[in-house]
Amino acid sequence: MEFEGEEIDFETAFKELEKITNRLESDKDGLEESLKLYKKGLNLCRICEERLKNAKLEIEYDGEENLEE
Amino acid sequence: MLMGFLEVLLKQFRKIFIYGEFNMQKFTVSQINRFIKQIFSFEEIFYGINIEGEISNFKYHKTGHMYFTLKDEKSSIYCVFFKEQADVVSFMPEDGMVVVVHGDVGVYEAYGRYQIYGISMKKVEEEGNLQKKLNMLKNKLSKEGLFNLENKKKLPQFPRKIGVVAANKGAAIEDILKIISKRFPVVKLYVCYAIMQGKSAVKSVIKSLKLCEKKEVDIIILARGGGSKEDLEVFDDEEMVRFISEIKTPIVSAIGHENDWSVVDLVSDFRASTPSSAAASVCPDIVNIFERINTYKDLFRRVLIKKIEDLEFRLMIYKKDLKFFQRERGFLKYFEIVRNFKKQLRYLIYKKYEKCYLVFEKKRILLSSLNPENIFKKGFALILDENEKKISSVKRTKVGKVLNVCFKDGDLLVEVVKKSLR
Repeated sequence: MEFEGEEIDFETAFKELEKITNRLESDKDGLEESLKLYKKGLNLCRICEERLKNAKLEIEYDGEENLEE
Repeated sequence: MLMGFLEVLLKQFRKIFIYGEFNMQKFTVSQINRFIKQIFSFEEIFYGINIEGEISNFKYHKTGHMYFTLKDEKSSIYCVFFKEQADVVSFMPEDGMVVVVHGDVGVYEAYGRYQIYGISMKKVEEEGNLQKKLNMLKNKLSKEGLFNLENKKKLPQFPRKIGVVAANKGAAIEDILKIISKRFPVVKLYVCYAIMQGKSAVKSVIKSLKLCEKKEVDIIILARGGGSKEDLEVFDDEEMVRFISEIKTPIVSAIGHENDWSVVDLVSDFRASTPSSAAASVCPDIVNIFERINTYKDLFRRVLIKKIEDLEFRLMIYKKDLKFFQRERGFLKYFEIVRNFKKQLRYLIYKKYEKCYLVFEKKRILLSSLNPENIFKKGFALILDENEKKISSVKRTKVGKVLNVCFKDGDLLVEVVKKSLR
């Protein structure tokens, strides 16, 4: 399946998910294509949820060490 | 008694600060502040003086007391008018107003701060130099279009990397980290400390903003917690404001208090009232995202189920139609017969037409050959008597009669001279 094992980041996955949602809502595709989109969408949902659950804020510090004057 | 106490204190101070000796005798903070207050109270110059300056940070407390800072280009002093004195001030002081305060300079022991205890106040100018300069700067930058809404950059919906420029160990940075780690921990943070107050602040902030740009962050938060106007005036600096206006990354500012907008706030792409709200404005909330994902999942299922149901319904209709045709197959035979009849009829009509056309064509040719004009063309002529009657035989005329001989191109009048029969 597409995106399986790929290192896709949250933002890309979520934007793709929104695109699929819009396309499915527009009801333009046939059953077979819709099924494909459905599977892809669910996979993206899972990726997004995993990314959110496992997320840990990464912080890099830089700049002046001085305190306020 | 008091003098004796002061002398002892002075002695101790000299030992510690002037002669570099360190005595084990300790003082409390209150003792030192009391001592300094005493020194002030002995100086006659501090009583009944007039000080001119520009008002800033004016607060009219509900108790009726007035608090503000009196300042000039280089320096500032705290000033208080207690209710009794405040009540006799004939005008309402405002930030930026130039006034002369008449009062005493004394020490507020609790804070270890010297200040003016106002007695009366006179207004000199509605707007002081500092305020004028600030207003002029705002007008100039506004005319140049630096504050135009159409120039403001859009904040990304899902930033990958957020840059934060704030003071080291300030409440602002703590609040921002707390909010972002709670709302959207997926993001990467680049915290670049800067000096946020005083002379070196402008250069330090610009340097940190440049570092953020170098790190290719998607958005920058420039945050500074509350403070007096003097603490925050660095954010009215033209160099800093111009630098921010030219920066390519969207920038969210949260400078000072909610109601006081610095010039940096005016030029930034989005102004937040506090560092916390700045953090909340740059990233979505994880709770909402989970909700959205669940909504999408539901929607996927609903769309697919509907599609399948629609197809099933259509299939059912087709099946019904098919059954109908199977059952009524007998009719099809008659349809076929009618169709053949139609074909045959069309063929017969065509044949009939063709035959009629041929007959017509023959007649047309015949008619054309009988046209008298064609006879004239061959050299024949028509002969008429005096009554315009056709003469088709010599028997129908006599010698001496005048006849009209008609040719194709004209007539001749002739007289019969001789007659002979064949």
